[in-house]
Amino acid sequence: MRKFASRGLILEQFKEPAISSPIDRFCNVKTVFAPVSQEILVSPGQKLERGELLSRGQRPDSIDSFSSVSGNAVAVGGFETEKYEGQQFLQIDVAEDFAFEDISKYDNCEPSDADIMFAAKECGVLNNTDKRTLEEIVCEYPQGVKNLVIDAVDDEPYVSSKLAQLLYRSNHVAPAIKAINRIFGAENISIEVYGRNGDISIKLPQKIGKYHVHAAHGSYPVSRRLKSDDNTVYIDIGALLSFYYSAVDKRPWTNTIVTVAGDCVKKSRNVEVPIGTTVGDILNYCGLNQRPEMIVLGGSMTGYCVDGTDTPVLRSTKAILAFSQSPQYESTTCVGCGRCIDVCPEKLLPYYIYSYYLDNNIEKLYRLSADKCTECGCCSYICPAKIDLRQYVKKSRRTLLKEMWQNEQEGQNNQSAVSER
Amino acid sequence: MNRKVKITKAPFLRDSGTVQSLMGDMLVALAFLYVMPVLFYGFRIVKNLIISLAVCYFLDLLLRRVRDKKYSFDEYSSLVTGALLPLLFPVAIDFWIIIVADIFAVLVVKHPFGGLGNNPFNPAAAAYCFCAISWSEKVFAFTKPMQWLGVFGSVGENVKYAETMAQSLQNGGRPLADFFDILSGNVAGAAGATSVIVIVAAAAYLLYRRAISIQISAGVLIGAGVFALIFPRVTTGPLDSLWFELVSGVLLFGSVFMAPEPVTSCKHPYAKWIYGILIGVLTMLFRHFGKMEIAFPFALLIVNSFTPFLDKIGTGLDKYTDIGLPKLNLKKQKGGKNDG
Amino acid sequence: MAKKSKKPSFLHSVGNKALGILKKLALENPVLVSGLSLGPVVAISQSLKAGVSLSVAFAIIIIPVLVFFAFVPLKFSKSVRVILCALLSCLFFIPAFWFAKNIFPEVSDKVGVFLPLMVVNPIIAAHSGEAVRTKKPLASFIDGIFTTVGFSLVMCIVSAFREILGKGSIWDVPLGSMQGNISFLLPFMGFIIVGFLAAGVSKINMMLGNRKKEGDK
Repeated sequence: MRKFASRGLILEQFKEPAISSPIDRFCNVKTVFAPVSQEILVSPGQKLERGELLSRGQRPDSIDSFSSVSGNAVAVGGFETEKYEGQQFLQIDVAEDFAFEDISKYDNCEPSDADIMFAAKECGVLNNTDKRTLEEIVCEYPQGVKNLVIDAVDDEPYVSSKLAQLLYRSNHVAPAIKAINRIFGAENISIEVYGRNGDISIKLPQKIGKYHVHAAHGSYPVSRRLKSDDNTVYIDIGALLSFYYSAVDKRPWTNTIVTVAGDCVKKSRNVEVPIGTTVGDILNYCGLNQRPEMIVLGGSMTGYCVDGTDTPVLRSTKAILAFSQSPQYESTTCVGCGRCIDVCPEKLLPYYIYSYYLDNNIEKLYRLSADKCTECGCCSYICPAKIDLRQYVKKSRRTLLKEMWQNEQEGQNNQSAVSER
Repeated sequence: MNRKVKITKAPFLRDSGTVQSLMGDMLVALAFLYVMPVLFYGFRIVKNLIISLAVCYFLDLLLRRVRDKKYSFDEYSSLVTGALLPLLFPVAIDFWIIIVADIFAVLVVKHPFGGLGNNPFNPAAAAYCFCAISWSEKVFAFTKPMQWLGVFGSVGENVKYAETMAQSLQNGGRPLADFFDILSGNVAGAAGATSVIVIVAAAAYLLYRRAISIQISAGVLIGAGVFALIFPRVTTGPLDSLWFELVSGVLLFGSVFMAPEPVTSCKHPYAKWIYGILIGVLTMLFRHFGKMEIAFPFALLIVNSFTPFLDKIGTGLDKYTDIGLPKLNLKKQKGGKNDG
Repeated sequence: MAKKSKKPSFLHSVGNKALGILKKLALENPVLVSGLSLGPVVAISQSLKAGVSLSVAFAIIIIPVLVFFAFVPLKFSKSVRVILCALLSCLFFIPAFWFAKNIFPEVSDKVGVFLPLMVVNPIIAAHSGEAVRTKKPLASFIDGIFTTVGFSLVMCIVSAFREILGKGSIWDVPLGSMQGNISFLLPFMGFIIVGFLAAGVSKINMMLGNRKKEGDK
């Protein structure tokens, strides 16, 4: 029962047993698929080293892509999943002697300033909190920033990849923060975790090194509060550790940590894999007790369904969830109960957006500010008629933006016509 | 139309509440209210209930079939209307008035506007108003409690009728009922609207299950209460006026079961307060200046027509009270100089 | 192989024409489909006498106005044409008022303000009918006749229904010992009855596939 008159949802977290066991490392794969942009710098058949640059990113669509394994480049292709539409992947056959290096070599290292700048700008580190590269963030704060917060918040059920990095790589976190603070020069540094994890048997630390760990309480979604502004920068812990490892190695870091969970998985756990490993390989490594009917990439509230087990994992993937059946519900007409309005954390009105979208009433959609939606999914979750409200708000947002863009074009045409006369 | 959907887009988790469970909660709460009338008047109310449920359900099924070739048997919204109506009428009423009320509610107020989810007016309130206008003497003929009424047929000649609290207030007098009588429902009045304790218990249950919103119920009572304090109808002081006005007529029952109906009421949190207060104040105005003793359903119908407008006002008010995103607490490091 | 086409018999053509007229009255009814002058139909149709008196007043006002309006040239601007139409209606209101007051005196005070409101109807009818386009007096006359008959049909049916169920009498003659139900004489029942009739007509239209498209007459 959520708290009276508060917005957002209290969700059951299901983080055990993934959070209580250390991070596994898995690199025994035959093929990986690296995401590449249009300008590919390698050709098929070429031998690749780990960390070799594959393609330059054309922001804002893609970032620099590096090879996550040592092996041979094979071919470029695409995948049919809706989310990966238009994205090209380079298939790489992994060399037989490819293995991870020992993680303890990163304990207590102090990389030099040149290494730090190299890691921040040239290694394609992606900050998952606001989906920007570290290079962009560094360029935005040339004079440094007052507060630096490390985001280890895992507010979605089943997902615990960020928290696991904090708990089991804690002896790398403090030197990493010290290194990144040489760029930002912040006075106040803290680490943010999510306070409502259900009953987990491991205790969250109060301090890592000399940095305090603060537990953010509140209902899902918490991540919407983590918005960088002039005084504060939020860096997520995956990006922080990637940056640190790249600086120590003097090579881009190309592994990512995903949580594997769901009722088809024998034991849910966090796994470190090279970027581009297929979902099927990871699931086989973790062991399945039955064939999953639905595989979800990303969080349970904001993820997306994938159609095949040969879809690759990207740098920003948080979790792989394998469910034995996709949930089926009976959808009725909207009853007007108003729970979607009660629960929306952005104070939008999904009920009205839904009914005006169905009537195609663009006039009224303007006033409802559908473009403020953060796509947290609270409205769809709580709807008793099981209407997919999040989709409707997304669609109406797109219609609204298209309409506004068209009006702007017309306004510009009119202006240019007037100025021609 | 109910159809099975598979979830293939985020979010992949869903809450366990459904529309059926919402209706089920309302039916359970209404079932609480049928206990006391059986103790006071006998099993006549049960007969009224069965007739009402049957007529509502089958008429609704027939009309849904006429409107749409696909229909399902388990849609319970008409059952809620069917269970609500016998509680508004006196227990002694003839069964054909209840049948006419059911037919009016489903055939005229609910389906012509589009069926479930689209009706602008509360069907139970509208049906009650229709019957109250057409057959005033029958609908307002309340009997004294603690007498056994015959279950079938008309109640006969030897039944004692009594003046309800609402009627006494209208005539300018102070109702004679005792505090404990009012709490338990041992007064003449509408079948389900007399016992205060049972209504409060049902309200607590519905609030716990999130089937009604407290803003509307509290708004109605606050609006009516403040008006009753300022303009008392009884001569013994404002506090007496507050108590009697709140427990007389159908006000308490309506504020819990009829006003917060999800389809017809406002959706925005601020608008819900305005909606509730408006209903309360309008009910009191009707009681002062109208000629019927039960005024709540009329006021409810009038304010129902303002629902979209009040929602617009509520959204406008949101702009002034937007406090922005809650800030995260950044603790300062204790002792020692920080690095970097 | 060409079939020899049979010439339709006289009765057949008359029957077709009658069906056409009936269709036009029922399915393109000015009140039920176009919503012309809903006010009197809902509020005043409480007895058949009131209904008939208003229908006759309607006829007296609208038919001559439509005929005369056909002579107004199109080159006048819209506001001038509207004002001319209103003036014409007020002119013809005088005989209508006399008629209503003297032939049906019992209902003249019940009818109240709705009788003068009849003046507004020709303004709407004139601008939406054929008269505007063809500018032929005969077409306007026929248009006026159809509008009047359509309005009168609805008005009389609704009034009779409400009087029988509301007062238990018809044309002020009590029917047996039936007691009426007051609520039928109140406006809300008027709205409900007109609404159901309009819904029935719309359903028949849909079944016959007569959906009016944009740009059609």
